[in-house]
Amino acid sequence: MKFDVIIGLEVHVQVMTKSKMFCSCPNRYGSDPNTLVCPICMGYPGVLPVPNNEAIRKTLLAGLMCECNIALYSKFDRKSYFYPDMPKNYQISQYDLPFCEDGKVVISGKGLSKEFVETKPIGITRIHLEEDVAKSTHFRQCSGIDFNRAGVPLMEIVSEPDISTPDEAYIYLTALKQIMQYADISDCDMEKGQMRCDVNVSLKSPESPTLNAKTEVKNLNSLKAVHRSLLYETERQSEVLEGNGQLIQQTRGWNDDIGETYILRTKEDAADYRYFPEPDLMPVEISSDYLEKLKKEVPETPAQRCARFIREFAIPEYDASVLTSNKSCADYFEKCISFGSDAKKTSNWTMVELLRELSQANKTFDQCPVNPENFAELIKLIDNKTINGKIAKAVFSDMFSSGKTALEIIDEKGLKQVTDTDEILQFVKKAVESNPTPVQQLKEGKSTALNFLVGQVMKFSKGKANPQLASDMIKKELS
Amino acid sequence: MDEKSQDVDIKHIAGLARLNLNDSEISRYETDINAVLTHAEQLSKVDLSDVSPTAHAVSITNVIRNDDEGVSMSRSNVLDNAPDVLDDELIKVPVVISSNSEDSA
Amino acid sequence: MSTVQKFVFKHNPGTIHEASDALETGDLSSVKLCEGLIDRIDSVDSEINGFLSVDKDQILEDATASDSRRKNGKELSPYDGIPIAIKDNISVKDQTCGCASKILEGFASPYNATVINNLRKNGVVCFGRTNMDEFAMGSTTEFSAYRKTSNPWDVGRVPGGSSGGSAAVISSGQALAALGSDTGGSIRQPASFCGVVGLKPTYGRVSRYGLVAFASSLDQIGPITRDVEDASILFELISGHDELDSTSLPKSNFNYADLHDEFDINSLKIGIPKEFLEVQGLSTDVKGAFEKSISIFKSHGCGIVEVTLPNLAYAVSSYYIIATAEASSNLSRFDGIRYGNRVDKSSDLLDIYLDSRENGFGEEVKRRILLGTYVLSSGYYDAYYLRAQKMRTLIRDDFNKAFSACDLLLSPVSPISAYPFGSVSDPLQTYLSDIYTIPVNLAGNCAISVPTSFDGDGMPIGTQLIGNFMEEVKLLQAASWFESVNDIGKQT
Repeated sequence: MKFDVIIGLEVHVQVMTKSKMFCSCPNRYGSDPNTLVCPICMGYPGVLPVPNNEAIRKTLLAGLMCECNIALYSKFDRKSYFYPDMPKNYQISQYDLPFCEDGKVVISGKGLSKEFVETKPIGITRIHLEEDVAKSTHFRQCSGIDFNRAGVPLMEIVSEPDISTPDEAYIYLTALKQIMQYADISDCDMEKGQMRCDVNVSLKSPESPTLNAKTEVKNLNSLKAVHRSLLYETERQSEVLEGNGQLIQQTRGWNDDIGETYILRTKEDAADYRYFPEPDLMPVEISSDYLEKLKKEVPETPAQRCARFIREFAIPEYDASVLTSNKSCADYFEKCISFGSDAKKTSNWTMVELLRELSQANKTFDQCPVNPENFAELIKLIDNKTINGKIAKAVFSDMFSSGKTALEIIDEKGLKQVTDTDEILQFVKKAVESNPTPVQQLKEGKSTALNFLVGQVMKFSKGKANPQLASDMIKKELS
Repeated sequence: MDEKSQDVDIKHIAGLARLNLNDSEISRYETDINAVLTHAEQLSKVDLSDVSPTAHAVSITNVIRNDDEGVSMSRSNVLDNAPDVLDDELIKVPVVISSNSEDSA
Repeated sequence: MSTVQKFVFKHNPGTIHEASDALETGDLSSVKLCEGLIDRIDSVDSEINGFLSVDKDQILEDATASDSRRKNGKELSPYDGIPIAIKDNISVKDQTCGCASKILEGFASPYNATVINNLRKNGVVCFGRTNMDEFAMGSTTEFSAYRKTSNPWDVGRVPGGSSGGSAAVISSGQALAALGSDTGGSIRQPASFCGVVGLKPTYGRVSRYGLVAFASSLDQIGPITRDVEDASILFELISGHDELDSTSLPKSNFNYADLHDEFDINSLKIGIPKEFLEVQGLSTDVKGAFEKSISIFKSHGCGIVEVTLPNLAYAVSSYYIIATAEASSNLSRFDGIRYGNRVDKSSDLLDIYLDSRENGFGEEVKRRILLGTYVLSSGYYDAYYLRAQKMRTLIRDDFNKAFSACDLLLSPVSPISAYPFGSVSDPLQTYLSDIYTIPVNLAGNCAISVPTSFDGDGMPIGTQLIGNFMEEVKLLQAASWFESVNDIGKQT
């Protein structure tokens, strides 16, 4: 039997700020354990929280990017449960009045299995703001806790159960990631825990109007894990149902090593979070003036930017979508264009040469040793025939490793394209003299012979001759 | 509370609050708490349907701070206060759940 | 010789303002003042048990520093060198802050409460940690995990609570003044029981940063002093907006000088909530003291009007639901993981929680955690917590209405005066005796307890004046006036 799969995602995204959510400790990844903590984020007796304005602003921005309604009146609540990674044994979160509600993210494109997903809106139920918990490291005999992460601003983005396949979930998460990166809300580096995902999966037989009990899989820390766990859960639940078994509502964990989910708890021992309004914090009112101001700060979404690239730079849709899938890539590209390089050529060079060098060097666009101005210059040098394409590739590789400009390298190595007809004529004559057979073939109208002769000229000139010029001159020489 | 309040399941509540109680404590607290709750049943006699709740004694809004970095505590201070420490850098607790990396949030 | 004469101490300088004057003229040094008080502690506190700890070396070091500032003409304020005792739930950097609880045994706070910073800016010397009911839950100080504080007027009786230690050390001459905290009467009631002055400021006027929270929406730090003038001085020192406390009111600083604004008893209108005389269990002596206060105001030309607080009967229920709900959450952080006492019998996490909290918390704290957990738990929130919050709205509205007809309200502090240890043990009965003080915390208003007279056993009885939101000036002016015209009766 084939079942309909109903998937909803709860995505936690750390908000990029200078300081934590409720205290002034630095919000920074990778410091020595327990060095970025203070009495407030450690939940010491007597301390009080004060909310970070910037974290709220970025949450509202995320809401606007996801077309949410922004709450004009919002508040914080306490969510209670005992866990050693939570300093106060309650988490300051938002219960019934989150900052953002009722939005959507439109997805389309290729999923992890390379299957193409048609354009589809995924509803956003809500986005609320809370504080992150500490990081636990588990050893054989004990666990160790680093509280540096405790209190980092954390958004929870809850989707509607609009997702039907693991591929859609994958594309949705990628789209969310792009949105967050575009608005500088978060880097969403899943390896650093900046983006974490819980999935809810339930099955429904097409004939039946009712859903079977859902499973929540927690703490998925990569896009791949999300995809795999959804495949696994779909299969596991199908098997139970096909064997006439009964599914019970449960929370499961994911073991990435063996690629299986495992049970954490069932609904019977579901937590009683005892939410109530946080008495230490006052409600937040968003004025319409502030909201209008914020709306002006909303950056282009990746989809909008893609459309603009096609329109403004006349590049193919494929190019535009690749370039805009990563904000720094799109920024880099646009910067190059502003220095006057040709759009299509820049697009090709970015997608092929630049991305390859970056990935080989394991670098991001921000760490790229070739700045957009120099990259644009290289492309212009090809355009004005100072160097040919083949030499340009070598020059670029050199630029990337040495950090020098294209002109510096060209000058140093004498790579400037030879356009002096006298000089080229020497090579042409040499090529014609030493290759009687191809010359004969060319005279008989065999055009491939011309390519061979041009190649010879290039060889004699160590690649510096302008191939077009060489070609013209060979034809002239033999006419 | 619209119905008569039932007897409190002290054992369950103690579990939520992580309190270990013996049988005599359970019965004592049950009596005490039922007495207070029975008294509190008077609240159900008042029509509060049109009344909005008050969570704070003062009605101010938007108390927020600028996103400025401040000074953290020294790690030695943090660890000195902790009952058990691991490798001079982590706060030690018994194994939590499983060997898998796990967050509560 | 009665215990009254043995322990209740009246000496000169016995107040902040007297000591400040003597320091100013050079008749007294901070070291001498502190040494005198320490001597007094050494001779009487073994019977009063008002202090949990007194770091004599630190006190004398701070006093010496103050004296040298003053000698160089660099005193930080007129109150430089004045010692103030601190309730054990207010953080002083590097001092133990245990809330009279086993769970925080040995815990030294790494930071100063804002009130402590404010005092220190003025050169004030932190003078010992005073005893209290564990986590401020109680009204007798019997729920301290460490010792029972005695009422200096009769050591067989309770000093009130939860700031019982603060009130007792003042009335027994071991300190000039103290800071207490008041969630449902914890400053005013022990002040009344011990014959001293206790001010609960308007919610949000004194920063709660560094006050270990009992019920966040009700807690307020305030002064316990020998007279109204000292209460005003100390209130000026600790009040004011604090960026570290989101519930701190803007422009909340109190200026002592404002008390010199014109005050005319003839143009003052005092409201008497009619429900106050009908409270069950109101003792004859307390009723008598209350009527005496009313007649004093009346006889001096003050207008007396009857007002009504129709929802008074619901205040105790609402309060105990709200306060315990918040407390159950506030106290969940005490788990033996990051600081404080870990009872480490096993290698199981749940056992650490259970054992640390079982051994760390006392009976009353557990009772309130259980009640608070219950009213927030799934299925009961709407029936209890939400209703209590709605009732809070009505009670606040009642006060607003009452204050539209008068300037201040007059009230008893507690239906009974200080009673012998162990004589009241039923929790509900104890809770019900907070009836006069609790509504003020629910509404957020300010109120003060001023010594008024004595009961038949010679125990002090205070009167409560309640002021509208942010109207401490009027409150303190009237309290000061009352103090000056009232003959308290029996003197020591």
